[in-house]
Amino acid sequence: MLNDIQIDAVTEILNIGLGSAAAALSEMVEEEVILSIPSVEVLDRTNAAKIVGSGGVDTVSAVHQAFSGPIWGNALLFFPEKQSMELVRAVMRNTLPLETLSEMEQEGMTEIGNVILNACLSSFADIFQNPIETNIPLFFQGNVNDLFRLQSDDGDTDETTLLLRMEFNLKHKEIKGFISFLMSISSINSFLDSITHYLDVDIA
Amino acid sequence: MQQEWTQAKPSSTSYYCTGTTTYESVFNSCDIGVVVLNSERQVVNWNRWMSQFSGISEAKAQGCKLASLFTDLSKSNLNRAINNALEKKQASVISHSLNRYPLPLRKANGNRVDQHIIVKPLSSPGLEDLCTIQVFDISSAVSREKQLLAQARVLEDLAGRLVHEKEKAQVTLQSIADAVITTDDTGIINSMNVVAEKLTGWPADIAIGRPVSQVFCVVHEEILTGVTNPVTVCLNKRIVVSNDQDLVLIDHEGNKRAITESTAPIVGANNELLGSVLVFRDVTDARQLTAKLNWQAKHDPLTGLMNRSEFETQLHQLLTSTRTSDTIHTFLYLDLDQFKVVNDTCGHSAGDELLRQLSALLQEGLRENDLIVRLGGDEFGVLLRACNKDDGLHIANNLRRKIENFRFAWGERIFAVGASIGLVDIEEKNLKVEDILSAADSACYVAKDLGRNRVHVHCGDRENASAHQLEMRWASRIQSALDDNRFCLFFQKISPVQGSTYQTDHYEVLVRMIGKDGSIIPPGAFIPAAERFNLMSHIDRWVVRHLFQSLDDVKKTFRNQLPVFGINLSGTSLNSENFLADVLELLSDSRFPTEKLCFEITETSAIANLNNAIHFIKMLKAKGCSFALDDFGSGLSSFAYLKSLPVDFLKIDGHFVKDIAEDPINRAFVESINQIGHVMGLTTIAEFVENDATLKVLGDIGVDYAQGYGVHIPAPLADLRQTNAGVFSGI
Repeated sequence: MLNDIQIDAVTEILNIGLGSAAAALSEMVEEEVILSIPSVEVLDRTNAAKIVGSGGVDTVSAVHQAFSGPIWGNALLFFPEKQSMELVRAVMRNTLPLETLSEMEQEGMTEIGNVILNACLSSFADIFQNPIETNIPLFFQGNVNDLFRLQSDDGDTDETTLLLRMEFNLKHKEIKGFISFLMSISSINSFLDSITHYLDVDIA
Repeated sequence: MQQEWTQAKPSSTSYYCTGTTTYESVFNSCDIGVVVLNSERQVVNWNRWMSQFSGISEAKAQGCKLASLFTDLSKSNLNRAINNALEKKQASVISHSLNRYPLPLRKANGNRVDQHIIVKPLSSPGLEDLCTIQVFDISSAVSREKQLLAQARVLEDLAGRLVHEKEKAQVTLQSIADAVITTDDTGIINSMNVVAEKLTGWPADIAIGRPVSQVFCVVHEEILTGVTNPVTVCLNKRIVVSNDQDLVLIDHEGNKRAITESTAPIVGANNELLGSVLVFRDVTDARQLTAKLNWQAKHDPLTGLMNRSEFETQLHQLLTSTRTSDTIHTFLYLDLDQFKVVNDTCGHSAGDELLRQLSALLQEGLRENDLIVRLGGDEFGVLLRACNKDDGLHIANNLRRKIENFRFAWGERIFAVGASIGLVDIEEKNLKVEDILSAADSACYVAKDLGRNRVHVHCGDRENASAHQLEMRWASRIQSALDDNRFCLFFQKISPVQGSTYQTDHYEVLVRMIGKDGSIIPPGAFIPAAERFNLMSHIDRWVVRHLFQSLDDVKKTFRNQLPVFGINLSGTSLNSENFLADVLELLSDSRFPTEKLCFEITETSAIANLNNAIHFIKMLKAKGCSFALDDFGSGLSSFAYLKSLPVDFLKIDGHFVKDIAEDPINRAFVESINQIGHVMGLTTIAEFVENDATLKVLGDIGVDYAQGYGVHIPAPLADLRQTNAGVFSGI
């Protein structure tokens, strides 16, 4: 669906966008945070769920956020549950030694996800030269398949996902997670058109 | 509501004022703070909640830039969220966790408000872009979490301590020297330490989860059958079970180990049974040691036979049981006859070995129920259970014969021994242990006194008394005979055998005791007692002195043609420096021609101390005396010594000689002894010659001299004079 040039372009755009998210997070946690996106794929959500679930990481902690504008859908940031706990407990003080994230930890996790997802969507908005409106972020904890199913309420069964692997580097920790943009076919087509257009303009 | 609300706003400056009072009242009655900002970041709406917690009235806030109301806002995440909402139409959350107090809000009591803030863009086509800020008071949630955190820390601390305690307990469990297995209340293994793994042969990871009876498999030490597993008993009865003895653990490979164990139930705070803890240890070494010590206490270490004290205990038990039954038992008291010779000639290690071999020999001849005991030294006891006097006598004679036929080999030497056995039957009730031992001892003494190598049956108190007194009586009688000079000499002629190269007779000098009543007492009656009471060398001295003193009479008797006189010397004399000195002195004082003196020594006494004997012989031979080896062949050890002893005559033991005419084996013995004697240049003398047939055979063989009742009956000097006056030589 995406050719190499497009993928490179999207990756670059996202990495620029994440740069500002990283700066914001670094301020928040008073520690250097580096965010990077090593790969981008376009997949249907079933395959995406398989990829995400293949590491045996069926239970995930996620932040999801609906977006609308030139493209529309749901943005997800998720980590295997243990990784999310490590992330949250690395950036927050006074955390609880519990098996799952506490209420406050979920709240903190939501803000982190919010910053990252907003940054990614800002990058897309820059390409499209149109704002992409986002709704408030929500926290989710559970099976990865349920997470993907959760987003298909609009009846569009062919919903496609733009799946990004993301690395979240703290001083002594490297936490790996995923970002996924769940979009309908028309939304993804719009996304691809915009990328093509952007590259044309850019090359020109 | 949001939709209606956005649709309702007609201008950017007075949002809700243009709306209905319903909107206004709803807006103000919200339990969250709501602020609406325009793109200039000026306050458009400010609800009552905000007024209440910020202390800034709606009137004051209205139209002001938010940054002027809250001066710390510019660099905050809230400010970034507001920019995102107004410039990029992005919604944001500002968490309490990452932003402690984004807005300086306080409650009536002065406490700061813990906030969770949502910033959302608010835009509609054709209308100015706005953003809403919703402030949630999450103080109670934060407080809840703080409590939770505090509790969690307590729990964490507790858990940490528990883990530490558990680790410590596990380390302790692994470090202790005893094996420990814990089970649940059904006997399934929960844990086991390293020692338990080692002793059972089961690795813990395999054993855990199995029934304890499968891993801890114990049997009774002696009967080797299963016993009820102590864990089962402990769990069933909820009691501590301890076993200090008799338990043997069979490990996974089937090896057996003696163990002691203790099993205790584990009972919870509410008295519920939680399981059991089984502690055991390997006591194989200790138990073997105990068994060994126990055995040693009851047995003679040399022969492995029961020792005297244990025997007395068992005999006592038997006597107790005999009181209520009619069973007759028999007891034998056995004393070896020639043990001292072996001990003296070859040392104690040879004596010990002889005792060991004889012990084995004795055991072979006994029934399973019989008890054999080493009573001390060379004395043994045999208890024949349920055995009457006749059967006992039969068994005793069998034992005696076995010993008689036994030959003990030590190096190149071979010894024959005999046994004197006293027999006592245990029939009478109320006998005591000491009575039986004493009676048997007396009977044994009588057997010895009657000439050894025989069985004597105890026959009552009379014998008892006499046996005890017999020796003492003889001792005093000998002493008094010595004091009173009540001995006399007898002479027995030793004649050349027909065809021999020798012509002259020899005479053996024999001693007789004279009783106070003048009766002649044969040597068999007093010699054993004299030997036992060390009086033999006194008798020997008497003989030598008396012979020398009798020189004139002797000369008269033999008409100045003195024969060679054989004088018997006992072992004691042979080994006594004093005796040698005395004899040398007597010789120098006497005119008795030394070449007419031949000292007879037995091979037994000679080999008892060979070096002394050789010295003795050499000293007297230097004076011109000659020597004869007496009873040659009786000990079967003779040939080896013959070369070392510088003797002149060889006296062939009479036992071989007396039936030489009928017994070809004895004849062969005599032939070979004679031949060897001749090869060595010795003159041979056959003893116990009792008849002409024997004499003839001796002549055929070529023995030089003959002695015995068939040749001449011992007689005093006076009788010889008469004889010599008549027929000088009968041969």
